[in-house]
Amino acid sequence: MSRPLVFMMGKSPAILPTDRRYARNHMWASPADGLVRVGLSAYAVRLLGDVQHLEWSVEAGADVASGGQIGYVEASKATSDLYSPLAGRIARINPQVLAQPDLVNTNLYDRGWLLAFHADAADLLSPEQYLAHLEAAWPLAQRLLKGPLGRQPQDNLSLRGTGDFPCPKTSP
Amino acid sequence: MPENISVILSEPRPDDPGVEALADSLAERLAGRPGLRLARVANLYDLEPAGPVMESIRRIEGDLVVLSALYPRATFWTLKTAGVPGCLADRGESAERAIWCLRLHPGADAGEILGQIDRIVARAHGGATTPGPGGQPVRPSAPAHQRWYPVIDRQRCSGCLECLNFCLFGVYGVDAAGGLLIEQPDACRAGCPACSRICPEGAIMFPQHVDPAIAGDDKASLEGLKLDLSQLFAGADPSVMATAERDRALAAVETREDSRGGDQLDDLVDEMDEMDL
Repeated sequence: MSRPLVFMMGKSPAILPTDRRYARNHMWASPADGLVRVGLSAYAVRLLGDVQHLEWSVEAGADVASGGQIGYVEASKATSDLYSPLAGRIARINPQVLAQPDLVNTNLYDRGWLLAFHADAADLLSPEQYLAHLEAAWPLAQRLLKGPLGRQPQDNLSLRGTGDFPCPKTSP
Repeated sequence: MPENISVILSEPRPDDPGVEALADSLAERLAGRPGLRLARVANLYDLEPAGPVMESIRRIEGDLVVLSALYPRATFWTLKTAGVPGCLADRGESAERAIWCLRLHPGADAGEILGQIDRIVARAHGGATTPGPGGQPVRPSAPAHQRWYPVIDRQRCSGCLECLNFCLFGVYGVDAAGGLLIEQPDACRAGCPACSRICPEGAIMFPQHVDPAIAGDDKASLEGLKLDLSQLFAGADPSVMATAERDRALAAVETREDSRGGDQLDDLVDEMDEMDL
């Protein structure tokens, strides 16, 4: 296998193996036993933190559309609905990951696979295309993470627009 | 005779409900109390680090009691960031002077806070106290601006610089030794606490944030602040996400203008009523 690609999330590298394809929704897809296994990319896992709980709203044998909602993940930093990265029929759900969700963190590109599909992954992104997608989406992803949160200062009190004093670095 | 302990009373913001009366009551009851010297200052978080009030706090010697509507950890690191020497009291032995940070909140009992201060004074003086200066300090005027900037808990910060890389507004920088620096605190986007969410150590506080975990409450957990990443994981195209974001912002502006329009109409009707046509 050629060297993996790396996307830097701040100072944290998200490793992207080049032996598989990727979906825009931050899942990887890789052929195994005549099926296509899918799992979360390192980018997704980094945003989520430690995966604590996974649940599926679909069962083996179900036909799903690309982008269709298939489950839910809860992790230490975030939660998310999960969406199918491709169209096809679900062949298997990884029972090991359901029993031990932290496999997604510890072995995300191998034993941490989530579902196996009867499907064709040819339309998904190459690792290079996925890397470009991450680079393009990163500023927006950050803005999405920031969101309209928190208490806004009162409208009638303006905030200083500039400030140039360097705060001294202190040590406890 | 030991020096009197300095008690700093940080004015609550107008949007700290129920705390103003508590602060007034404490100021009244602390004035002239034996063994201490009371100073009322504007809201600590809003003070300019280079300004005269913070400078006078930096010059105070001996143990310090700080009464503020901020959580104690936020109060302490706000002071430390402004260069006030000392260690957080009750956190083990230290050669530095102790800074006692007591929180004023709507549920706080003035008598209990006074009791705590009396115990601190007694401990420092071994029972020998001198009368404090008489007269109640004047309530200071509020700073012209309410500020919004991150306060770093340096005991937690690991220096990973994720915040520096994450922030889009240029708040963070690095010092000559490569350590994290709050380079432009007032460039921070008002209301945005996002860097505190991405900090792996939970070291970034926004003391005026409504969520206790972000505001510096030791007992609150960042675990409860989980983000919903469903939009991101739905794989929306960045341009679609950008359009949705723009539309949300636009809708917010239009809602504000609608409500303002209503006010103007109401004013006009009132004026016509007054004209008694």
